Amino acid sequence: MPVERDGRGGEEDRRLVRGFLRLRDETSFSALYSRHAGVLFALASRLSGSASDGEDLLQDVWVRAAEGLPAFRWESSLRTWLCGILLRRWREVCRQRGRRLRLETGEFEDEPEARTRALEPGAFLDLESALRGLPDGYREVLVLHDVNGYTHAEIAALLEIEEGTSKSQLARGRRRLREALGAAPKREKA
Amino acid sequence: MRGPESSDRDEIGALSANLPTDLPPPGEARERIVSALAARGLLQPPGLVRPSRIAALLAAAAALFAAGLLTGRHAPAPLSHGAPRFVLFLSSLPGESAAGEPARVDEYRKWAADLRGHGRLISGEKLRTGARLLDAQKGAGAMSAGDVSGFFVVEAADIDQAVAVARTCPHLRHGGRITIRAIAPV
Repeated sequence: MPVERDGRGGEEDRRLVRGFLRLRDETSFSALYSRHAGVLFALASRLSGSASDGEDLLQDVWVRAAEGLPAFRWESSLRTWLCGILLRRWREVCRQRGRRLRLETGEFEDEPEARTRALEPGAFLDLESALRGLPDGYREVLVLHDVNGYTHAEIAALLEIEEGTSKSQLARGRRRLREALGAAPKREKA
Repeated sequence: MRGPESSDRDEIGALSANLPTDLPPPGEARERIVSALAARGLLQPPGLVRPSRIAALLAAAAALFAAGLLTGRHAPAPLSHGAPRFVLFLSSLPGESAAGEPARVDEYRKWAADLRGHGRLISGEKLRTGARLLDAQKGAGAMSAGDVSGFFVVEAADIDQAVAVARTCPHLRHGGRITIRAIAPV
């Protein structure tokens, strides 16, 4: 997985989780929070396209993690597990908001406001802004793959899609991002 | 970890890979999450200290007290209860980006913590964008949040001292404006 392959980091997480489950106190929680909140917040803010939504997602992740930690079996790193919770929660939020993601096309159904965010070439000042302007389907895959380093196989498992879908979403997302940034179109291989 | 499929990158992919994967959340986020966990019984409520820790805390407090006596250093005394209060309204920042926000909020948090340490800060919050307006004539509706992005409530001897406190706020360094209003005692 793309995060926390460091064995020492894993040992530290195990020690902190044991402490947290034993004491359930703020100090134990804060130690865990300090290690992982930054990565979770960055991912949450980029997935949702907003820092305030990112904060809400961050809270949801920690609440669910605190509930689920006693049953966590360490079959993945703690951070990967936390990121999985975040992704599942984000998709719930999308569903609750009526955003019906169509991963095959990266477009939405029944969400007119999403279309108002249509990209305009050269309209974005920086990459972060351009990312926020992408349809959620593109942004999810692009952030997970290009920013956070997940493989297509991992993304497919996390998002419950085919690997081929992840690859096509990535290609389309990059194309839209390139247009938004006013970059020259990528030359296709002959 | 980056780049399990580095051969799959183009220039956009390479650009995206340079974005930071670790952004510090706003300082108040941790406190809010701690409260949410405590409210659900997933964390001991703040202030509940296990007996085994009380002795250690007492020892630490004694050491700190002794250190304070030795150095003679102390924070300025907080104003007395009932001192005038002021609200510092922070304007929205032009060109505010989500990427830069966490670091900026953290800077404000540190400033607020310092102010609290001196007994001058009562409260402070960052406000979300978007608002609802209730109008006796027109009813309810969505509205722009206007120019206010957050506020601090502080104690000060008078408006000049409140202005002096506001001058130290990092919001000004970021190009923002601060409106200082006295709270009317009722």
